[in-house]
Amino acid sequence: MNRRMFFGTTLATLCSIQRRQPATLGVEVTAYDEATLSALAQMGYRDVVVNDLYAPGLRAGLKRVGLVASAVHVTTPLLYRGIDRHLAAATALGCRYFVCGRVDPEERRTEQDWHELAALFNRAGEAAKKAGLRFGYRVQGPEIDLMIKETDPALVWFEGPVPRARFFAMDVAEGTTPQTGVAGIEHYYVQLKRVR
Amino acid sequence: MAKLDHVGLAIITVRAEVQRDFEGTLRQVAAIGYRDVDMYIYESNLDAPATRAVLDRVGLTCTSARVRTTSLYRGWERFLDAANVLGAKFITLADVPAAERVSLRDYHELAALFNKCGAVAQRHGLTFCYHNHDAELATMEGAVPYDVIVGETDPKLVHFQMDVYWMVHGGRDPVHELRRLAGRVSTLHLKDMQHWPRSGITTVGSGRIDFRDILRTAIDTGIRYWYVEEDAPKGPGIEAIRSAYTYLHQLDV
Repeated sequence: MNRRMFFGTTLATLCSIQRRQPATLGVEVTAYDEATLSALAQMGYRDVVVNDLYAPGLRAGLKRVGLVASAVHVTTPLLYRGIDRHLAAATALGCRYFVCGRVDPEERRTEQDWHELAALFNRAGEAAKKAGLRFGYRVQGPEIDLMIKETDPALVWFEGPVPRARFFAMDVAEGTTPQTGVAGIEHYYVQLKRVR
Repeated sequence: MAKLDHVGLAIITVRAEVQRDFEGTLRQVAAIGYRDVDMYIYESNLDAPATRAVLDRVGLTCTSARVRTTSLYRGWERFLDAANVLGAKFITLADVPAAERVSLRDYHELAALFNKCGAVAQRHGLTFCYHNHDAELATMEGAVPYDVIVGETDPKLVHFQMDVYWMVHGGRDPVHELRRLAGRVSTLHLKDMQHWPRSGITTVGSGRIDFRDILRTAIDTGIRYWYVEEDAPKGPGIEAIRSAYTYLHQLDV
């Protein structure tokens, strides 16, 4: 199955989710040219999560084809320096979620790193709340228990493959059985990296 | 005229090989003749003492330990400690990703951050170096970001790893820049520029950059460390670094 077929059939299969609960089905986008965005819109997608807050022409490109970026994935340095400017850029893009999408392996070598990251996410969540956005963290593994425990439920939400408490989004991969009725799940994102 | 007394290697050139076999690749690097390397602190999944043990076993010295911007914001002293375990003299910021430098204000803030990090590095016996690409050589909001960084950082705290290829790509003459920044450039990254297409990266010695003039000027200005680097060799990385070593080793400087 190629990417185009996967996106199309996944969309068709999972449309039932939207009939059962008020959630959107979106797709992770890593190429921002008009042909890609247009192809996704033609398949029926309306919601995307983007990985480059500053991709040239992104806002206009999304608008032209009728897509909405509900979330943006950012790296940790954007949380440490200039977060208010980055939150403003996410707002201008139309995002509701500002999500730390990746923590590099060298940033998380010890448990101390995860404790420090949880504190960072609380600070980022507070800044996001002031800016009218929600802060999210894309779960990478077993750190989820620590994150749920050490982050403020009013400030930090999660996305990832297996939904838990405080998840605002979950991944959709080929072969996924749609999980419905998970409290708080607002978005289902088709993950590019899971497409063969 | 004399020959270079040593040639260093940026391990990123053989990253594919390193991911498959860390120690075996470093052993091949040493066997070619390289003696010192510029490498990410966590180039493999080993911790710093284990990495140092591998370097010692194969006969290589890590003179420049590379970091990403993430290291500057949190746990900087832990990275400095790890760099010292490796035996490094320099701790080098390898890159600033595009999302972290969207306006000139970012460069002003980065210069201030480099000063802070450079001061802490100095207390740990290390010299903080910033590695250039070509993006910071393009005018932004009426200024050249590279010059902002040079101008706003403390010469005692912030030095530079000059990537001669990106200097040329960004429209500057490395020899002129080495003289202008004498005493502030501590290390070099050496990669060549293709004859055609003119902007492509190629193995040292096979392109159009005059390394003899660059290395002579570097030595004249007190630089003692230079590393062969090729981001994405077209063939096996080991063959590229063998060819670069042969070329540099016979060069009269």
